[in-house]
Amino acid sequence: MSDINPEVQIFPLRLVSEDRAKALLADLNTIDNVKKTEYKGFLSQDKSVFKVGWIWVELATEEESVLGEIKDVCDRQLPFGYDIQRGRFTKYRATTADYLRGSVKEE
Amino acid sequence: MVYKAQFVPGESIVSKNRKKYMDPEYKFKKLRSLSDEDLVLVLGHRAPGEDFKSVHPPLDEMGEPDCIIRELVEPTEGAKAGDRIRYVQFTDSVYFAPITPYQRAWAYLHRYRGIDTGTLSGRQIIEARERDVEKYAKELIESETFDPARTGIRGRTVHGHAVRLDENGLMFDAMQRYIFDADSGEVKYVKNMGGEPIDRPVSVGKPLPDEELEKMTTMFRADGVSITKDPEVLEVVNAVHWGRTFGGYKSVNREGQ
Repeated sequence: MSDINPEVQIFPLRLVSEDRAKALLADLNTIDNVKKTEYKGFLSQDKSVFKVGWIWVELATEEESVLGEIKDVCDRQLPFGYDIQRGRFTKYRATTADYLRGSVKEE
Repeated sequence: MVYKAQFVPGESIVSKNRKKYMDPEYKFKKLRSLSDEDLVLVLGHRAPGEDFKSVHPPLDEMGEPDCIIRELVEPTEGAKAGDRIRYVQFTDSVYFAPITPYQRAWAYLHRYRGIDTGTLSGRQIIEARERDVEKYAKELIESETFDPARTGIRGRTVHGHAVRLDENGLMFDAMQRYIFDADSGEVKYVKNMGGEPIDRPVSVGKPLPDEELEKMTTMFRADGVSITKDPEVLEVVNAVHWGRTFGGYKSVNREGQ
């Protein structure tokens, strides 16, 4: 696992608008050792509204201090509360399905 | 001996609210008012001002056969006039909606006549004659069992009851039937129950604050009033569970009883 970067999942306790999510990501990207940020959500049926439900932050370090900085940003941007979890939540290597689909070139 | 109906067990605030809503003697508190035209727009079964369509002539003109049951049971207004069967359906959020689908069924069956009601995990439908539906819907929307943010009037694409609320505290609606008007702080319906746009927005009032909703709810929740805090409810739930598990459809046959 050592070559795999750790990740943090931010789970807001309310569904977040896309504007707020973008502002949150912009703030998260200013933190040192934040490698990549992503979010996931869903559209209303008429595609007029997008709500964000999950935010993932990939880190370049295992240091605890980064988590503190992330929490500071979240406290500011998500006043209604959030859950935060460390682990690995997004894809970091090709899966069997990717090989079957042919999206990975065999060496 | 005259029994006084207890309706549901328990002494907690949640049980008390359940009893209150189920007791037909109790009159729902009126929290908002909705004009007849607004109601017709939201339901979307007929255009405002349009006559009720009928499926049979009025009962008075039909010459009904001699029947003791027909003499005993007074028909509802809608049945008398021969209205079509129409419906109203509510979705209740798990986040402290004032009432839940199952309790809606219990309350409806104690209060309303000439209805067919169906329960699903997040929604509750009432089918009845059109003018009866309008009467019941008006009473329910104006009453304390409705919260503009946590209750939805949804005919189809009803899901959202277990989805997180949005930033304004509104339950998610995939069809975006209602919007939060930040200027007035009110929730406004811009589409009818079936998801079709309506001529003008219909306001259903301001959402209630969380503290208020927690006092009004009929929901046992770990972050509100937990079911474990009400021993009488727990006892009844346990009795039903074990009776059903060991007795099947004949819980009286359960061993040791």
